[in-house]
Formats: sequence, C-alpha cells, structure tokens
Amino acid sequence: MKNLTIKMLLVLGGVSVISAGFLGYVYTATYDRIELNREKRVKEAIYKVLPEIDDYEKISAEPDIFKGTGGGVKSGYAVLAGGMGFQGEITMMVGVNEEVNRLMGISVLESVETPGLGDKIKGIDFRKQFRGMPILRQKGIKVNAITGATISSDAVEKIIQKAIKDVKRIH
Amino acid sequence: MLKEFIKGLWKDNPVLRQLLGMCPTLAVTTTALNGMAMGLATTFVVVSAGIVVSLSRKLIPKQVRIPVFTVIIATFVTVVDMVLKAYFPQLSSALGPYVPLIVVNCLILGRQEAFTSKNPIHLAISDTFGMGLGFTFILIVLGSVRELIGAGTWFGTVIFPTGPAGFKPLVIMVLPAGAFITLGLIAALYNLINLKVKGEV
Repeated sequence: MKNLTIKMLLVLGGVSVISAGFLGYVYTATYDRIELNREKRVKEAIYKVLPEIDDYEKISAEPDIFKGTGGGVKSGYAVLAGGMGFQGEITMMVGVNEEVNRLMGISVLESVETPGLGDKIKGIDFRKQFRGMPILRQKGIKVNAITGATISSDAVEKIIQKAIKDVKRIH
Repeated sequence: MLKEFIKGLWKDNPVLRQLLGMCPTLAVTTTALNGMAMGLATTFVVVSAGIVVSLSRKLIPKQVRIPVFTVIIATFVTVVDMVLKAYFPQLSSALGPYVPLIVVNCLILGRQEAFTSKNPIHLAISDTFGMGLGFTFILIVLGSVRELIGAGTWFGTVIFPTGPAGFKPLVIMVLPAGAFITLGLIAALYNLINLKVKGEV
C-alpha cells in the first residue's frame, strides 16, 4: 500500500516536471516569433487606419495610443481599443484625425463574431462608413448597423466611443 | 497493424461511429480550411500522446492514469497552440479559443484509455494516426458542405459567385444550427452506406 502511494506520487510528480520542462523549452523557442507577429499586426493596423503617415510613435500605454507623424493634414492618432462583442472580445485599431473631430478608419485585429453575420464588421462595406465620419460633441458617433448583427455593430460603436474618449484625454 | 490504422478511417470512425469530439466537430467547421487545421492539430496531439502513453504504460499505476494522460495531452496541446501562434498566426486567430480546448476532446483521452495504454508502440501509432485522419476527414467534409452552401466558397476559392442574380448563400449553414443539420445528414448517410454494404437495405 505504502509502496503504491510512493509510486503514484513519483509518477505524477515526474510527469509534471518533464512536461513543465518541455513546455518551458517550447515557450522560449517560440516567444520571439509570437511577439514579432503581434507587433507586425499592430503596425499593419496603424498604417491601415492612418494610411498617409510616414511613421508613428507610441505616446501612451494601456490604452495604447500611437501618434502618426508626417503626412501633413492627414496625420492623426491610432488607438488600440477593445470590448465585448457577441461571442467574445473584439480588439480594434481606431484611427482619429489630429483635431479629434473626424474618424480616419477602423481595423479589426481580433474577434470571434459569427461567420457570415457579425464577422462582417471586418468587411469593407461596413468599415468604409467610418472613413471621415464626423465626431459630434455630444453623441460622438453613430454607426450604421449590419442587418442581423445588431449586437456586433453596437459593440463596435461602443469600442469606438471609448477610443475617442481615450484620445480626448491626452489630446 | 494495418487493421488498427484502417478502422479509424471508416468502421470505427471517431465522429460517425463513436460520436466523440463533438465540440470541435460542430464548432470550427464553418470552413473547410478550419476543419482541416483542427483535424490535423488533433491528429498531432492524439499521435504524440499515444506514443508517450504507450511507451510509459507499464510505469503508470492505474489509479493515477487519468491525471497522467491529461497532463501529457495538455502539454502537447499547449505546444500546438504556441507553434501555431508563432508560425501560422492567421490559422491561430481563425481557430481562436478552440485550440486550447483540444485538451478536453474526449477522442484523445478515449484512445489512451481504450487502446494505447494497453498496446505496444507500433500498434498505438497506427491506431491513433488512423483515428486522427478519420477525424480530419469528417471535419473537412463537414466544413466543405457548410462553406459551399453557407458562403459559396471552398477552401476560400469562390465556387458559386454571389451577387444580385447569382448564388444566395444560406447563412444558417455557417451558424451552429447548420453544423447539427449537416452532421446529422452525414451520420445518416454513413449508416445507410454501411447497411447497403451489409445488404440489409
């Protein structure tokens, strides 16, 4: 009986130690690439919402806000913002012009919205309405919702409102 | 050895015969590519775990076998998750939270309990590999049907052009209900073919 207890402890402990070591190895081996992929996606999203900038700098962390440089009048801020969608978290890059009175565009980084309905928030037909959309002093913005995907559309509106608030705080 | 491999493809197909691993089967098969990626990731995990379990089957006391299997499976799933994130970021974001959930795919634990913990390594490999491929095969079929009818595409290529005068995608097929309908019809077809072969219909 006692022998069995010791054997069980040894096997469970041994298996856990080996798998922890193996995972540690794979984690260090893939860490750099995973970070690189994440940075690349953020960078691509910034250039997508502020297409005419030459470069950008990070001016705030959590919320992450980037200020585009160059591009003259077409420069502005890019804000990384997120919120709850229909099925899970939506992460978006929101572009705002320098005066913070117009949107420049949005780009969805991560979402798990329903394919064919909610995930149309990633499509150009939905996104193009934000290009140059005026930001009103009282109401902020008003989104034209996707038919059959009211919750996803409302979530996008809420995230953009939050992003605008974040920019105004530092503007 | 060949027999153990073949049985997972048709006779003991994990999805259609054993009805195991329904969660990923229903959830990720919105497109053929997602189905294939989930199938291959699961195949990798079930084969790797099968090899380890088969090799260490004499060392594991039967009282703690389930936690040991679970730790082994969870380790390989975490490896798959990290490798996908590092080298296939697009696929990783498409499969999203379903990759970590491979851990609870009962097909994988089921094979360890029913087969690899009682058989030598060469049989364990052919059994788990056959089961993995049988699983992948059905996920691709399911994903193809749902993608074709639900979006008019196959592996992302347009097959039925949509438009005012063209093909009208049936959105329900990419929603959860479409998964249940398609899986039910495929399982019925599978049983019909089996009965036909036996000459009972």
